[in-house]
Amino acid sequence: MNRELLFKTIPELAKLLKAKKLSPVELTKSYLSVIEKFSQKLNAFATVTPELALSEAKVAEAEIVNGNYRSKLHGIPYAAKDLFALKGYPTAWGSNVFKGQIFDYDAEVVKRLRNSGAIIVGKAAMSELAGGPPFATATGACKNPWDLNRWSGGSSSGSGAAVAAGLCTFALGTETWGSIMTPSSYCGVSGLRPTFGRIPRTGAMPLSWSMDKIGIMARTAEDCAIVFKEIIGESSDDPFSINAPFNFNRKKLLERISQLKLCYVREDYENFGEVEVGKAFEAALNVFKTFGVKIEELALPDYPYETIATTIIVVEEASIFEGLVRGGRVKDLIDPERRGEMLGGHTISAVDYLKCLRLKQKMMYDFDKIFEKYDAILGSSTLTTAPPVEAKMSEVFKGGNVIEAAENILGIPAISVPCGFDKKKLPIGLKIIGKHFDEKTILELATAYQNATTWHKMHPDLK
Amino acid sequence: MNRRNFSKLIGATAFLPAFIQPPFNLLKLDAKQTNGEIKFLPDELYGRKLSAEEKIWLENFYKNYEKSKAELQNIELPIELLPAFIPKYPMKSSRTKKQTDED
Repeated sequence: MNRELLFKTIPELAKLLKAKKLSPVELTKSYLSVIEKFSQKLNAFATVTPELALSEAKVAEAEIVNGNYRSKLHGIPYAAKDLFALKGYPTAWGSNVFKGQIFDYDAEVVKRLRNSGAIIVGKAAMSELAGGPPFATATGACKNPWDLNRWSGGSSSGSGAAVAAGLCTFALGTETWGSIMTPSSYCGVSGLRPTFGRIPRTGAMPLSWSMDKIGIMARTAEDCAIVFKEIIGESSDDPFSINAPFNFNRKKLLERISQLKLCYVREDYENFGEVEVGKAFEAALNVFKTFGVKIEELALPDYPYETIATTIIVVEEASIFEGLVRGGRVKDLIDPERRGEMLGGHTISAVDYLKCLRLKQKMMYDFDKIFEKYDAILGSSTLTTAPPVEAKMSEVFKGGNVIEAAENILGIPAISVPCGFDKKKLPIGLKIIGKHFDEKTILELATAYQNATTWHKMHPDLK
Repeated sequence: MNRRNFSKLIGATAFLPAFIQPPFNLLKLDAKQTNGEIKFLPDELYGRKLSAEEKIWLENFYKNYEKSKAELQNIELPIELLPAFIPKYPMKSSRTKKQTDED
């Protein structure tokens, strides 16, 4: 089997598929065979769907042969986080409590990808109910393809691991607070978390209806842009979803980028992270300077970002999973801290919750002013590289990176791209944050960065 | 007792706590009240009595959340900053008025 083929980008594969030089069935079989070989080693999948994948691949092949080429995703295999409904297949949301749950419909994004001709190879493993430390998952801690003793990140754990290990071309993930950025950074893949409401969430497990976002994890920023274009847009079933234009353009990239004004967040790597991550970030800033862009340091407005994010999520998840507390099944959650969170969410006052929503509104005014001055904000996706599988949450997230809470409260888009490795040969992530509905700018900046670097072309040597 | 003596007595009484300490028990407030920590820990939720284990999980949650709660309660928001989802009044067209007209 040609392993190189499995690490090709979407445009590279699409070119071969469209020209009928590569069969969707053969490509799907290749991915299924590596999934069989590595999936259990990594705990990357909750469910593998070989029958469905092969039947979709056969349809794709027949359509392409007959000249009915649907999109650049036609015949491309992908994985969806186990949080998305897939008709007739288990969707346990990473939890033993929901083991055996089967929906009789597909999530809206799964439908949209099917219409584009993409092929689903399985449901990627995830942290229990989209949150918690490495051990908090019904499928076993998801291991990092760069070092099997380390975690792939969460909560889109399997999505990050599967893309990094070459088990699929791209994967769907979700983020409420860090769930795409963290695994993208730890696994060395490109991860796009779009603006809140850009991608409809129908058929996806809700954790916090005011903060949940669906995103994409892939080999490059351009791959993310291609998938993004296929799944954006309003859906009547998700009242928060919205239509907005998206015109990603690779042409004359550097000419446009040189006109942009960027800022960056200086993190305390010594106290909250790793010095090597800080050095990689400095090096990435220098790459942007070579494009001729202006970069200034940003002082974040003063807010209790993490408190606001925590309060909103804890209250909304307690409301969503009220049945677990009411019926006493909260005890069956794997992580004791999460059990306390579910119970505690019921006792936070409505006044405190509403105060957070009012603060969110005030934050929006302040960040609007920042984005009047700057086109994007640069930062580190995570302040550390992948922690050991047995790490506790307090060790994984020591603090710092408060802008991540701000981004998620506000629902502004961001992309994480690989920007180096530490001495342990673990990937480091660079984050580019944009204003609402301006995925175009961050994707173009990330593409320019990837055109100038090779970090995204490095793959783990799994045996 | 004339008015002058009465005033002196009242004045002296006001200084009394400075010289004579009240019994210790009277001052021994719950530590949780004096440092602004959350005191409320329910015994039941949704009419279901919490198990001993559940109380421990809940208590641990509060240990982590207390700082956040205090942080929130220290913020005073301007009254005009209403939540985004509450419409500004008066509304341009009053639905209630229309319905009344139709009636």
